[in-house]
Amino acid sequence: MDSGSIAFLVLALLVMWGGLFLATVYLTLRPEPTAWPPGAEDDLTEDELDWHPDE
Amino acid sequence: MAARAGADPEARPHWSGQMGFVLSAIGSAVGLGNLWRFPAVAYENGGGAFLIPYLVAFFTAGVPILWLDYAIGHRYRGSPPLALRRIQRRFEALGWFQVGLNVLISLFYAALLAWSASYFVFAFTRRWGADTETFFYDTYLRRPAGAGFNLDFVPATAGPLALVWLAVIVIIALGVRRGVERANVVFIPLLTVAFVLLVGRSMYLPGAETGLDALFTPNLHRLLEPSIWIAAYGQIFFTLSISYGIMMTYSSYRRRKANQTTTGLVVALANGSFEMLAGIGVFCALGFMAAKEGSPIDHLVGDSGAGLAFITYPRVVSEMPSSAFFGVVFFGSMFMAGFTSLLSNVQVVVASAQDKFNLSARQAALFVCGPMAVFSLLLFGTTSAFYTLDVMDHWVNNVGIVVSAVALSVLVVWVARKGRELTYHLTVLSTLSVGRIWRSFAGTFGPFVLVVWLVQWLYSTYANGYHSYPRWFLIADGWGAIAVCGLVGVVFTVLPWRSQPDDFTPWPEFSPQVAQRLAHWEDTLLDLSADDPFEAGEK
Repeated sequence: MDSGSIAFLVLALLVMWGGLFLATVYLTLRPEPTAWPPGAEDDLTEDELDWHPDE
Repeated sequence: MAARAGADPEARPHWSGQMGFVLSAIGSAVGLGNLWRFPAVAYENGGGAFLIPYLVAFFTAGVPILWLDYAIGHRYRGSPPLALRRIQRRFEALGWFQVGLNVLISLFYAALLAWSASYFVFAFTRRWGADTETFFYDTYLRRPAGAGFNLDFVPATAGPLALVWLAVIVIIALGVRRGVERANVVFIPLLTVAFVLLVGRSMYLPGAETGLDALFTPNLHRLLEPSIWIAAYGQIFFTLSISYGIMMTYSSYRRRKANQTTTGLVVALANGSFEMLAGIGVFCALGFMAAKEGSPIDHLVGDSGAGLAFITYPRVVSEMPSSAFFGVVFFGSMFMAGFTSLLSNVQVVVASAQDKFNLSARQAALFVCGPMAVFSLLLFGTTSAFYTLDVMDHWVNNVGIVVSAVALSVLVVWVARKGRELTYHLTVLSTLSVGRIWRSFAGTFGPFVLVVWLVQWLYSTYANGYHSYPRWFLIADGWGAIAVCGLVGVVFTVLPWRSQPDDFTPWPEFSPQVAQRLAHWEDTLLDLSADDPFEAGEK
């Protein structure tokens, strides 16, 4: 492969795969905001959920 | 008996959690287009240089419009007709137009999956033989010489098509979490493993380097051509399943307290990663084939559609060492990628019927998917399937979805002036904030680029036609499909609701005071000492 194609291959992988890795790490470390607006008190966050009305 | 949610936001089905949603959204975005559209479009539009407009389009149109879809579906808690009606009553028609698009896409997408399933079986014995083109068109599809519609059924295609629909009906009847989510939780990890195996092996084939050179060698002078940029925006737009109701529906199944923007970014990047992987795998294989035949690679990249998958790739597979294994993994991957996307198309239709007519998942699966299966068999279980599919696919994607996207942005951001409210919604519920730049991309720049795309497409189609199809067939099958979606938009808007769609208050509240605080926050965004107006809430 010539240097131009290697550079663009690396660019594509860095942005997409690197971006996916960073975004996933960020989502894992901060899955939710630290505070919610008022209201919806009875509503659980997604990972507290155990209610499935369609079953 | 399963519960009926109707338009009641409290009774709406939910994903089991953030992971269930993310996997299902990735399953929807990663589809057949990743496998056969991206590699060919990138190659035809400057190779490596295409990646520059592709990445620009990804961040300036793809991600912003994906977030717009999430915000609408999540804030207004409904399928497209319900969510858009809750913004403004007359917008319901656009929601039903999007449902019409999903119906048509489901009808032909199921046929492509049936073909993939057949080829998965054929791969064990390489039944396509040496002349893959004759096998595909004449032996398998039994395609007649001229385009048209007929009812000459082909058992070899109609049988697998019926089985695909049966699987869809069973999964949809199981509901959002037990059906759609579980299918994605099984298929997406499997697809990832299959993709990695396929690409890993392809990279070690003799000639793979030639393929990678063809895909990634940058023709930088081509960056000055507007058509390259238009192609990049088109590719990003089609690959992410945005603006025709899927992401709106999927985000409506999330809990109220759910991180919107970061999950959206993960989904978009995962789709892009699959696309890159597919590009690498396909071009390594094509490089191998070119080396084997001693011909230039551009002879093999003539088609970005079904031809690449069902004619070129079987030829490549036949030449490979361990060819049965390669073929089985390739067509198995294609089936899994397509099946999870098909589920998302069908779920839009089912959710809309459930919302409007107060149906349970099982009733909707039977009364909605049943007739869709019949129409799919009538149109795509026959010898005329290929022509019907080719033209309908081209029009629904290039006209229907683009019109839907432009209308969505213009109506929501400019007519209903909901840009600030949706900015607030995304920002307070997420760990990544959005602001004016997001509104500009989603509400102005994105639709502008899409209008340019549409004008260019209309001009080119008017001047050159499409392939060599007769004009009457393009009008009946192409424009007819768009007209059907318009009709669905009108008829289903007029029908009465069997639930209470307007008995609804969006959360979090967006009062004039909150709007003022948002404006202040946006003005002082760069001032780190400014108070964060959204930190005062509860935990």
